Amino acid sequence: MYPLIAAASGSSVLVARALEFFTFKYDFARDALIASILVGALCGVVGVFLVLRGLSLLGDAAGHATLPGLAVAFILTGGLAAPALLLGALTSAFLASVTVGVLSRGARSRPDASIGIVLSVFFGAGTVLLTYIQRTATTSYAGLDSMLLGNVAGISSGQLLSIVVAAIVLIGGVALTYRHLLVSTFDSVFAASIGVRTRLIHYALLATLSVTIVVSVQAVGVVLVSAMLITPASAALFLSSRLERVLAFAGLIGAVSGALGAFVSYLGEGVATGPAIVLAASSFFLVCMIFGPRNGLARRWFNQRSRSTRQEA
Amino acid sequence: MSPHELFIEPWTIGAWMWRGTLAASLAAVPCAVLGVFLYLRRLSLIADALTHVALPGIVAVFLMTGSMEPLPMLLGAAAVGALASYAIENLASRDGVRSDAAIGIVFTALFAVGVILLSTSVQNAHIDTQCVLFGDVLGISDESLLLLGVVAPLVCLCVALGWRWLGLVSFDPGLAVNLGLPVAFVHYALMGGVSVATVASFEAIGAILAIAFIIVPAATAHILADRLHVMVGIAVAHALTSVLVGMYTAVWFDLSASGCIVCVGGALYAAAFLFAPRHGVMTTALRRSARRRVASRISRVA
Amino acid sequence: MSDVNPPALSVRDLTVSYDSEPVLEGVSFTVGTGRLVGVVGPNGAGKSTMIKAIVGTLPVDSGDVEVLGERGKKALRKITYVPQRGSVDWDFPVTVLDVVNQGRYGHLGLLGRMTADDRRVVADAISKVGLQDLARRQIGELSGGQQQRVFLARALAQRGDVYLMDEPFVGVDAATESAIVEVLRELRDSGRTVLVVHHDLATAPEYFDSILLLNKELIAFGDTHDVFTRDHLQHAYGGRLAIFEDGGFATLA
Repeated sequence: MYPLIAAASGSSVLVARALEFFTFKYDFARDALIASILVGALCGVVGVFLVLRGLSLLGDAAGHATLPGLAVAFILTGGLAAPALLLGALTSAFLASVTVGVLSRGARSRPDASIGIVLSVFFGAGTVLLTYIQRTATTSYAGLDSMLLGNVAGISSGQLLSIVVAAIVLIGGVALTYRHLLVSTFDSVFAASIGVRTRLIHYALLATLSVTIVVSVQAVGVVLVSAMLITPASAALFLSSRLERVLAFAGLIGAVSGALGAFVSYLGEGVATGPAIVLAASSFFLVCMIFGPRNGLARRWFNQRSRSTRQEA
Repeated sequence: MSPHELFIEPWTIGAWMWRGTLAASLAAVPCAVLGVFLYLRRLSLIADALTHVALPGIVAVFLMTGSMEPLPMLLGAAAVGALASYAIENLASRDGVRSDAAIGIVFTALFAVGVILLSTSVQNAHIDTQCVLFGDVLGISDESLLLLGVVAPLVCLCVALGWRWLGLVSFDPGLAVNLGLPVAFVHYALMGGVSVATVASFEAIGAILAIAFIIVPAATAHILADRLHVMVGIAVAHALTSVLVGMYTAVWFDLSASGCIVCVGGALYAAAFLFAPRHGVMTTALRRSARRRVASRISRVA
Repeated sequence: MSDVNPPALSVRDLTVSYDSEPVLEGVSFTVGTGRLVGVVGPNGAGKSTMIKAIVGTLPVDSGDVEVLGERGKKALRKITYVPQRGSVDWDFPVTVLDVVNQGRYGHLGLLGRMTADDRRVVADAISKVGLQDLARRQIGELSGGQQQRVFLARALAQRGDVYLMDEPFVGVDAATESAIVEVLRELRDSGRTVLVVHHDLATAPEYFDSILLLNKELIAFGDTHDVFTRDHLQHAYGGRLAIFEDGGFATLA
């Protein structure tokens, strides 16, 4: 009944299970581990740009919005074929992020409300489609359920491949176009004045975001994928004042959180991977917020103290 | 299918259509009313966070008391909601954390805790993962219906009593401070109201769709209305229309009721966004192109 | 003659509107090379709008911009635009050096690497504004005046032919203001043309060779002493103008 606690109570058991998990003793565990690490790293890197552009919660909307796409793909193909599901999720996630932009530009609209509207209405549509599938499906739809909160153990080789490809292409793409991403994120007006195609970059980033979310949902789930975009990036911002390093730290924090979360959900049967990974990332955030060299609480407190002692002297 | 079969019969087969519609309306109306003020104060996404953290609140109370008594549940969820909104504001006011990121960090962490506790240590028919995500309008329990019956009128009454304060604080917090209004109290009362309304409607609409019940009516009303009381009226009308049409759709096609209600609400919003008489996107575009045509004709003449 | 030596900047019939409400109507002017021009006018006169329209970040209703005889993309490459400081996120994880490096990005294209030449240009620009010692600092750690100098250094690193600056003196201490003016004069003396949006009537005659007086339309443009007349200013500012006995001007709040 309490698998987590039971597992944790015998520390030797824990070590043994950690060994069998991290040394690839079982194939499914190896796949799960690789997938979670790559998803964490990818989300971390992409998330930095999202957070810096003030689009943190756009990831939340796009994440929830994959649900109707997944459901439509399932209905059309009648199964859990990875390419169809990816394409469906991708389409609806991209559509959602574009819709947020369109709604935010209308008269009398508020950008924050636009995100909430798109998130909930897309998710509502997904809910409706899920009940339709539950009623009519002849094949198993259990795989679809696991995408809500993530179940990395159930990852297929096709999904793993798409994660690997996406991670290589997108992280490589970020590295190659790093300068343009930096300048258009930092100062878009200036970027446009030196001929950087800021609109193109914006939409490329939305597409990157959609791909990232779509390959991540099997591991972390549509509901919590936004946390993996926001939390490691925000933690990394406490660690350095140079963007290159922030990106590296965010990727690292994401990857380690992915590994830890996959392990925890491997230990405790019934613990969805998404919440476990997110909780690991949130713990890292807390640590970085307290001890981070840039704006960290401990450093601030120390600075304040040394300032007041100097004033006294 | 005759109109009679379509429109009347669902109400005659058992009580579930009555119960479902009642539950959905009682959930939707207070959410829509509070939503207007949240929307105007640009707190839409805080509301998103508060609806999510209702889950850890409910689970925590269940683990401590072992029961689903309504009063402790409301208090527990309100406490976690207050904690979350304090944490968000505290994080957002620091250098180094962006305010929108702060929202995302806090509520996802708490929601993750809620889901993990739910899946490892809670065994209760009324809160499982499915219900958390989608709610269950048609299968609403007596306790939940009763809770909604108490909370919904109470929330509306509080809004009516605090009408002038809420309006001024939403419109111009600076002036409200100058006039000596208890701005912080009004703010936290609003947050508390959202927490209470979300918990009461939790079984009916779940944690994620609740945000649609809060923001979408207000956003629709804002496009159409120029005065606060009209805006609240339109928001309530939007909520009730969505509930009714959504319930019918759900029954006719055997689909998720909460999902259908949200979809109808979204469609109404889209219609207002595009075709509202003054601020609709299509209507302004048409007006502008008409004006351009006139202008170019004038310049050609000149 | 004009074919051999095209003007630095030539604007013809520039009209811009927001939501079909005109904010700038039929503005035309031509500036030669090596000029330091102040763009002056009351609030809402469309000064920033004009600059943004010239650099192409705002859609225009009509108008034609030519820079050293070039149009379109080729023209934009010769312009260096320094936007107003307010829009910058000071928490952003970049150092002074990172920001000034951005001045070279336009020359590098998408995939080019920074060469030793680029680095020298950047180092020159940083030392010209006196920030050598702060180059590794994150930009949020600087004072307001230093921050403004960072963006001036970035503009210098761009090595443009025509500089358009939007209110570079806002929120800046006196030392920085005179340092900026010094740099602007150096730019002019090296044959560049500089347009500066400026709202302080008291200092305008001292800083600029020419004045472009704007209030939705072009009121006057020419040498400072020709433009700064009572009639022109009253035309531009209406009742918001105070005229002092010593011949100075100031706007009323």
